Amino acid sequence: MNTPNSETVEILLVEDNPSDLALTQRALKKARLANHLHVCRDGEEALDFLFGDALHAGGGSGRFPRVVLLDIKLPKIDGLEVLRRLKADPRTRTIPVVMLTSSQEQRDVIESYNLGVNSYIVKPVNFEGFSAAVEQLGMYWLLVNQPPGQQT
Amino acid sequence: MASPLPYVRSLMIAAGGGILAVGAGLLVLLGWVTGNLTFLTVRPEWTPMVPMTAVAFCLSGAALLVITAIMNRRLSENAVTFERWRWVAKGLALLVALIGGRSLLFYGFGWPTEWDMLGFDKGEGPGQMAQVTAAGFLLFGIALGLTVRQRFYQSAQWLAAVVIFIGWIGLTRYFYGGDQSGVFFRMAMHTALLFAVLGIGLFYARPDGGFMVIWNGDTAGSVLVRGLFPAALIVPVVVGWLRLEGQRAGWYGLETGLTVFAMSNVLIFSVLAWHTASRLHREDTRRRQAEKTVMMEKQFSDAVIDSLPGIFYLFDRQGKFLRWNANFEQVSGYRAAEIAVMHPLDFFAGDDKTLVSSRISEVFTKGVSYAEADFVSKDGRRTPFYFTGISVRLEGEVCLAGVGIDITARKLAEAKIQELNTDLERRVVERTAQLESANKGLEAFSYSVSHDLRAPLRAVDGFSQALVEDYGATLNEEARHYLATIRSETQRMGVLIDDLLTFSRLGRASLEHLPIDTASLVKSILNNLLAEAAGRKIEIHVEELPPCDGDLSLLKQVWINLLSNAFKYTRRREPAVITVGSRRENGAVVYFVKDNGAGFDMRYANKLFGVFQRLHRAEDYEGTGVGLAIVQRIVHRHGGTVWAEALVNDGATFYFTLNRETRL
Repeated sequence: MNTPNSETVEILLVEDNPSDLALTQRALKKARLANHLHVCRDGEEALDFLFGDALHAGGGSGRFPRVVLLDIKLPKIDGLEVLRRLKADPRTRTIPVVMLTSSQEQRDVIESYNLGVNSYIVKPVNFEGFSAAVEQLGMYWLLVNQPPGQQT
Repeated sequence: MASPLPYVRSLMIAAGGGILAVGAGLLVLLGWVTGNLTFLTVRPEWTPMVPMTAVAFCLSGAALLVITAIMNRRLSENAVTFERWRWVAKGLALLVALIGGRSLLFYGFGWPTEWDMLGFDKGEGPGQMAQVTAAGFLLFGIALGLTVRQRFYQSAQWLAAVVIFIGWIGLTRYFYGGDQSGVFFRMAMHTALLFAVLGIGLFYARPDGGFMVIWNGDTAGSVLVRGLFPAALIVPVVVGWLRLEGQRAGWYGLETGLTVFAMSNVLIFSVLAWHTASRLHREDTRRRQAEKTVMMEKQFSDAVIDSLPGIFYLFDRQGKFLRWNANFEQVSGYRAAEIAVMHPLDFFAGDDKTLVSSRISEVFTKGVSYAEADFVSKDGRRTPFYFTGISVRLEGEVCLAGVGIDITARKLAEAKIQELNTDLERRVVERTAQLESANKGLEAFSYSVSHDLRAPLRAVDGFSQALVEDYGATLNEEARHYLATIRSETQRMGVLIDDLLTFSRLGRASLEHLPIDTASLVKSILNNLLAEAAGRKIEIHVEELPPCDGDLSLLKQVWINLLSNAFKYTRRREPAVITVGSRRENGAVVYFVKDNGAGFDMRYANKLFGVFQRLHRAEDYEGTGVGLAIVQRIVHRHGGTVWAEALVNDGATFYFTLNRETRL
C-alpha cells in the first residue's frame, strides 16, 4: 500500500503497530527518507516481498532494499526469524538490518546480534528521541554506508 | 634346640673325642709293632691294651667323627651324601659292636682268645680283652648305631652313660693303685680313659636332644644336674681314696675308715644338696615372681579387652583365633571352644566375605585397615559392625588385633537421613518445577509488558507531539499546556514501566562475583551526581570504603539509588551534608550513606523498601517508589541486609551489608 512510485525500494519497514508505523513514517518523512519506502505489516509479508514466497525462498521481486527496519514482535513470523532468513541468504546477507523494538530484553538484543543485526534501536516512550534516532540511522545506512560492490 | 654357637662347639668337643680315640688307638698299634711298652701300658706294671682293643678304638673314634660330620648340618643339605655317610657310620658302629660281641661270646663259651692279639706276642699281658672292655665295645657300637637314628638317640645316650661308667670303673681302679689280677675288670688305663672320652663325645654329638638339652639348659633340672652330677662322679672316689690311704697308713681301722668314708659323703653331699637347693629355691622364687607378673599382665589384658564396648579379636595369619573377649562370645553366640576352631571369615556371608578377606590381607601387608560388614552370629542374625584391624607381632608371629563396634544405630540414622534426603530432593524438584513455571509466566508477562504497554504510550506521546508540531499554531496556550501535561505524564509512566521491568529482571538475572573497588565506584557516581547538581551547595564526606565481592552492575545500581536519594532529599538543605562510609559489625562490613535531608517517620520504615511505596508526595520529591525496592532486592541477592534510620526533617541513614561476600 505504501509502495513508492520509483522502481527501487531503498528502505523496507516491517511494522505491525499502526501507530508506530505512522509515527515512524512521519519521522522518516521529516528526514526526507520516505520516498523509496516499502512497508510490510508482518514477517510473512516481508519474506514474501524479499523472496517472493515466504515458504519457498528464491523467487520474489528480485529487488532488494538498501536497508531494512525490522520490528521484533510481529504477527505470523517474528522479526528474529525474518532476520535469520535475511542473513542466511547470500543475496540478502549484506543488506543492513536495524531492529526497531520496544523490547529492552537482553535475550532479544543478544539473539539479534548473534544473528548478525547491524543496529538495534529501543523505541523510547518519548518519541522525539526515537525519531532522531531513526533519522540518523536511516541516513547512515542509506547514504554513508555503501553496500559491498556498489560505488556512489 | 640350643643356639647355633654352642651347637657347633658341642660338635667340636665330640669330634675332639673321636680324634683322640683314633690317635690313641694308632699309637698303641704302633707300640705293638715297635715293642714300645709306654704306648702299651702307660706304666710298665700296668696292664697293656691288646691290639684288638686299639683297633676297636680307632673304629669307634672314626664312627664318632662321621656322626659329628653328619650332625654338622652342612652335610645333610645333600640328601644322597647324607644317606651315604649314615651308612658309613652304621657300618663302623656295627664293626665295633661285633668286636665287643665276639670277645664276650668267646668268653662265654671258653673259646680261644688269641684273636685279640692279632698275631702279636702277648708277652707279660693277659693276652685278651677284659670282659668289661668287650661289653663296653658292644654297648658303644650299639650306641653309635642308634645315635644316627632320630628316634633312638635317647637310648643311645643311656648306653653311652654305661660306657662312661665302665671307663670310670677302670680309672677308679687305677686311682686306687689297682691290682693286676683277674680278667674281668683288668683293662688298660688308657682303655678306661678312652671309654670315658668316647662316651662323653657321643653325648656331645647330639647336643640337640635328650640329656644334653637338660645339661645345657637353664631349667631347674639343668641346675640340679650340673650341680650334683660331677660331684656324684668324683666325690665318693676321692673320699674313698682318702679312706684307703688313711687305712693303709694305719691311722684308723676298717670300721672307723668306713665311718669316715660314709660321713664325709653325707657331709659333702648334704652341703652340695643344700647349696643346689638354695640356688634352685632362688631360681624358683624368681620364676614364680615372673609368672605372677605374667599372670597379672594376663589378668590386666583380660580386663582391658573385656571392658571394651565392642568385640575384640586377635588371630594369626592362618586365621586361628588367639584371643577374644566376652563380648565376642556374647554377640556371636558361639562358645569359646567353637571360636577356637573357627576362621574369621566364618562370621561373614556373601559379599562381606570377600570384602573382609581383602581387608584382612591389607592389615598383613599395610599394617592397618578397617571394614564395615554384617557380623553373622550363630543364630543367623546379622548385625552391622565397624571393624578395625592392626598388625601386631606376638613372639615373632604377625597377628591381627582389632575391635568391632555395633553400628546398627548409625546405619538406621543413615537410612533415615537417606530417606529424608530423597524426600527432600523430590520436593525440591517439585518446587523448582513450580518456581520455574511461575518464573516463565512472569517472564512472559514482563516481556509483553515491555512491548505492549509501552506501544500505546509511545503513540499517545508521538501523536501529542505531532499535534503540537502540525497544529500548534492554531492551539491556544491552555491547550498546549494540556498537551505538555499529557506528554510528561506519558513519559512518567514509561519510566515507571522501565523501573518495574528492571526490578522484576533483578530476581532472575544471574549474579557475577568479582572483586569490586567500592571506593572508586562511589567516587565516580558522586562525580556524576555532583555534575548534575551543579549550583547546589553540597558537602560530601567519604570515609573508608573497603572493597567487596559482587556483581558490579547491580552494586553500582545500589550505590546510584542510595546516593541519588541522598542528593534528592537534601535539595532543600543549605548546605546539604552527605557522608558515605563503613563500619564493622560482628566481623562484617556495613556500608552506609547518611544525609541531613528530609528524613522520614520511622513508623513507616517497614514500607520503605516496598515496590511503589512512597513516604513523600510526588510534588515534593519526584520518584516512582521502585529505587529502594531495587536496592533491597540486589542486597538480598548478595546475601546481605539493608535497613535505615531516620527522623522527620532530620536526615536519614541507609545501611547495607553484603555479608557473605564482603572481603574482610
